[in-house]
Amino acid sequence: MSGGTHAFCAMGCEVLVAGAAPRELRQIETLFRSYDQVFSRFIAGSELNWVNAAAGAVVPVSPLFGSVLETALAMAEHTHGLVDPTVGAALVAAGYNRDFALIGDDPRPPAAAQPAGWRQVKSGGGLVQTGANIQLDLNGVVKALAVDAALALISAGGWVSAGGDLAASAPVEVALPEGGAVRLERGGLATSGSVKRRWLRGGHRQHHLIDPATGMPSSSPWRQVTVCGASCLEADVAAKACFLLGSAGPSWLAGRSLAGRFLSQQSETVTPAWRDAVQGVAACI
Amino acid sequence: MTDSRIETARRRASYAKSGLGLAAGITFVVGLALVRGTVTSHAKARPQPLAAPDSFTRALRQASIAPGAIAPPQAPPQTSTAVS
Repeated sequence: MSGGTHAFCAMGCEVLVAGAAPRELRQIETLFRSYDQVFSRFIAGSELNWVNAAAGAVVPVSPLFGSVLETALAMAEHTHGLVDPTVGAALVAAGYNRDFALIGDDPRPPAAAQPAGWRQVKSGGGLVQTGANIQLDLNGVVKALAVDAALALISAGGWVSAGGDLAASAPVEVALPEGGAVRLERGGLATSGSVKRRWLRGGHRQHHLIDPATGMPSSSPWRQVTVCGASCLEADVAAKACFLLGSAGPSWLAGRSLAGRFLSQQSETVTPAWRDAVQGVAACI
Repeated sequence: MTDSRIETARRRASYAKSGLGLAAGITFVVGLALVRGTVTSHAKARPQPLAAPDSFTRALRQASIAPGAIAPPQAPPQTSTAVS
């Protein structure tokens, strides 16, 4: 692994890159900024907002948009709709309608919940059509995909982290939420939870992880879920799915032989793969 | 005799025109190559879309949620994972 750690801000978080050559660093910064321009809900001219404004119609999209949307739909299918790219309207109903830094507590009650419906989205051949009331929010996969794409640009071993979602092709020591650490040998490590990006609406706690079945912020017992996957995308999607699954999360993850750590208010739960890997008995592969 | 001299002159003129045309073509091609290779504002290579490559996206989709590899820590943390 060559070079030190390089940091920059993009997609509303700090991005750290290690092991990249100067030319690769420039490509990675460009990649993150272009993803932000295309997929931000808070940039007026973003392609995402353009597609959302045309909900119900068939619209042409860029290859990047089409590729990311199809990945999001594939992940929705794989998680049986838990990680759904159509929660945009539900987020707005909950009050997450502008950049998070600008959101304050609001005495008004949340607007009517908007259940998600990823099956109403059709994508292919550079064209997208959503249901008339569907608003896409691709944040469930965009940041992790950017991390994975950035890592693919590093020719030597290295790692990339965006707001704490990581992908590595060389070992990196990683501090865990609320204490502890692991060595990520390769693959991705991501944490999802409700301890950040939360606010009050009508006196009720709101956060950004929407239960697609109800269209409301999830009432998961978990505060934070950390998962190790083959890529940042897989780790992030699995962490979100496990958070939304609530008490069924650990068994869902264990059934896929994935390493995961769940923090509730009172306790820590880890999957067998996590326990074995961190105790050095076996790697989670 | 006169016709022969005119024919010869025409042939020489024709060769000269061909030579000039060829020289102009070569100059154009060499100049274009030099411009493409050296002028800062000229794209040096075909622009690549800023999308994840298809093969990469396909691999991600096919490998749907496969495990990575973690191990016990061996040094102080270099970074952290967190809710963002």
